[in-house]
Amino acid sequence: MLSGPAEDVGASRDESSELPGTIPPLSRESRSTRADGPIAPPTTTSSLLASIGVAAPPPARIWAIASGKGGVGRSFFTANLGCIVARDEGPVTLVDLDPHGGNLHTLLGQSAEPISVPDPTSPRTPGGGLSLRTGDIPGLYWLSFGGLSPTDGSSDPAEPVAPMIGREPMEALLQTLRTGRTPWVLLDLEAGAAPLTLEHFLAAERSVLVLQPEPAAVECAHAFIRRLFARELEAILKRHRDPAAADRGQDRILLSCRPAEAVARLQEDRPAAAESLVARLKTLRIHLVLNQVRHVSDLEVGVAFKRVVEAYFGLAICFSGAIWYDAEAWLSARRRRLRVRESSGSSLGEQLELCMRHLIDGTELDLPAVIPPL
Amino acid sequence: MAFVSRNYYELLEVTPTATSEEISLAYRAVRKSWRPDSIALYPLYSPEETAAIRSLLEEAHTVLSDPARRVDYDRYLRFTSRKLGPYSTWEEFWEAAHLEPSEPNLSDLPVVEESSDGRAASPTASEPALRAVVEAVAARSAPSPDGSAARSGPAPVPVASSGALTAGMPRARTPSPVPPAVTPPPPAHRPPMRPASPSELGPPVAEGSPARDAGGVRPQSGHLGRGLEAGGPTAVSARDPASATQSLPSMRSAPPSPEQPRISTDSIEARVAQSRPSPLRPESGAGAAQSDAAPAPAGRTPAPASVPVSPDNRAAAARSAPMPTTAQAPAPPEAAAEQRVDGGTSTGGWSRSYAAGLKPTRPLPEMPVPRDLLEQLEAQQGMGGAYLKAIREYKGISLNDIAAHTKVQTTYLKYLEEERFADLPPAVYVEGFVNQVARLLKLEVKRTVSGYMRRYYEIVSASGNGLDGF
Repeated sequence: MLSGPAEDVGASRDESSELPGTIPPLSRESRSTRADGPIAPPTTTSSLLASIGVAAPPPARIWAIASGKGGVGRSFFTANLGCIVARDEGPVTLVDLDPHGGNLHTLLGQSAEPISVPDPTSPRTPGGGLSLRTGDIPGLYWLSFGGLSPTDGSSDPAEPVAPMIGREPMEALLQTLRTGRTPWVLLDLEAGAAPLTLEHFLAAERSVLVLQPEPAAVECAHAFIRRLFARELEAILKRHRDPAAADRGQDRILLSCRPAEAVARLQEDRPAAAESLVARLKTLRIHLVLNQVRHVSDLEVGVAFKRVVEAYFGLAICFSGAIWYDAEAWLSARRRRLRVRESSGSSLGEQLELCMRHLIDGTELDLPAVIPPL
Repeated sequence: MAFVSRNYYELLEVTPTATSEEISLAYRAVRKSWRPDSIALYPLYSPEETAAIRSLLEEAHTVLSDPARRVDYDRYLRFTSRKLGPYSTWEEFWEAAHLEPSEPNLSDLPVVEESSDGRAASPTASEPALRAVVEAVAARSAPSPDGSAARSGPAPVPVASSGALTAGMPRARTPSPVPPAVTPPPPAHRPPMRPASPSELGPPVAEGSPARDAGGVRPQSGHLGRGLEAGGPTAVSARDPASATQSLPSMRSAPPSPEQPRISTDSIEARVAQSRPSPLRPESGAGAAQSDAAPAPAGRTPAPASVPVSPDNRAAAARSAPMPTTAQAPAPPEAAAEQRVDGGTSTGGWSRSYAAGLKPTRPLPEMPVPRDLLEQLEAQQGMGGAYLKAIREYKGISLNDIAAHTKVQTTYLKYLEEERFADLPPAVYVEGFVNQVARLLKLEVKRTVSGYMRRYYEIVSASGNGLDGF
């Protein structure tokens, strides 16, 4: 018995004569669009849409914004960039994935409310079951991780919410976002290089690293990339592990020596592993955004960072954006308003627009164009 | 991998069709990223390593900005299918710069998640494998019994008072971390052989630039002999296995490890045939070598003091100058008879006019020879004329260049390489020639000379021609 979408029984009757009382078969057109075998009920939005002949929307473009240490302006950058994206490109969802005090809602001037995450075991409905929060910015939706609870929201809001969320609900959340509630998603990751953070960072379409041109931020950014590299190397080593016990010690040594030398050593010992590692490194691309640039020489820090990381780690860095220091940004922060919405003549909007263009196109920053006219 | 294996164009981030102005601009731009005071640099590279990288960039700029050398280099790139730069790996680069990669940063190991086979979740010191590595590192840091400290903290204590280096000395050479399963740690098998830094040889040390000295060579110091006299490799290694690999003679004279496959002569010939180009023209440009020691290339930064002529060097230089007034060098049949000047002049006793005519026009290429090639050549052919010729050709130096720098006639140099001892001057002259050639090729002078002369005497006594009284 066919349980597919309701077909108009009276339409497109078969040419052959039928006995009265029988259900006429489906028309040839509908039969050709049918999948092989019996039609299963649609389980996802895309398959539901495909079964009625509507093309599913493309998956959302996810940009993950991370940094080596906190305080470099990651949430500031994410919130203001989201505003620009909502203005120019389309609806965007900002996700605050900082479990230890994320302030995306503060920057947006909103309050933190617990949001329930859909249970991954339950059958998904086309709506996704996720309610995104909106503010007064059209096209900008947001979601705060700090309020996520693994249950259906029956916990007492007055009690502190557990900061960590399990992997599966997080995956479910990201999958829901990916299936296109909004065409753009910006993930405001937490500072540092936690495993989950690195996972989201690498899985995104654009992996953005925010950096301030000052030594502490640079050091932490280097540590971030070092952990990222170590993660990739460990995964490769695990995949190509030899049963011999000596490899464990060798793996330690590989993880502790210089990355480029680790690759060279690996190429001597285990060429297959080295090949997959090099191939993996080639697919990685980190987009660098320099925040709080105060001087032209700070831009050189970004360029030097790119060159040094490419030499040391063998990772490709794309210098995508430079945001100049805004001496009056603190005023907007006090008022809990987004800086780009202020009409005080700040060029932050233009800088973010340029950065957005580069991130979309995957191109490098043109340094002379970034330096503001005197 | 990515950086050091780039050719000169890629290092400067220019296309092969760039003009000289573009190359200069690109060099200045790239050099800015590698400034010693760059905050993007200091967490990853030490000052010595930064200096080494800067000198590599400078070499790229030097070669590419000179049209003649650039033509040669382009031809070389077209000839070799690899299209790579002077170095293939970082190890090669650090070895050439006489640097040791920075100490493994064990505290920066990532947090390891629980793996399927139940290993510890975090690399704490309680993990046996890590502890063994830590012990190996501590053992390396311990001072060796012969009194020379291998390493004193993160900043090695500068021993040389020559003041040539501004940013401290290159770190002591230490073996790579040994596999933790083996205790006490045997001589590390990879990287195979690392010569000790000058600091371990004790003061005073003739310090050259930390960067870009030819591979397989220590700076010229009188303590080479002391190191050799201190005992053979077995004595040193028996004394202290932990520091065995730190002493140079054990490194140099130990047989190649079994992991290294012996390179056949064909592959050596092939490699020599594919050797790097001679990016210099013999008679173009300006520049002069001042002493018979290895000349320092012009424009190198940081400007090191040239290798000071230590007493041993001076003795060697004096030895190369023929002292006896009675002994007359037999004139080579092809060369015209030239007036010999007796006495210990810096021209080595050759004709002043001849020596004056040949001026070293430009510094020799600083490209190092891989250590494994050196060892293979030596093991298979001995340190004879063919050895010198192979090294010379690999470095892309012509006989004219050697003649210009050493003031030894090209004819004699050719005979030296062909081992035509019958046509060469007496042994004392031959020894002087080999001394100068070895010094120029940045080889170990005493060892090369003794090896060559051993071969000389073997052949001469075997031939029974009565040369030099044999």
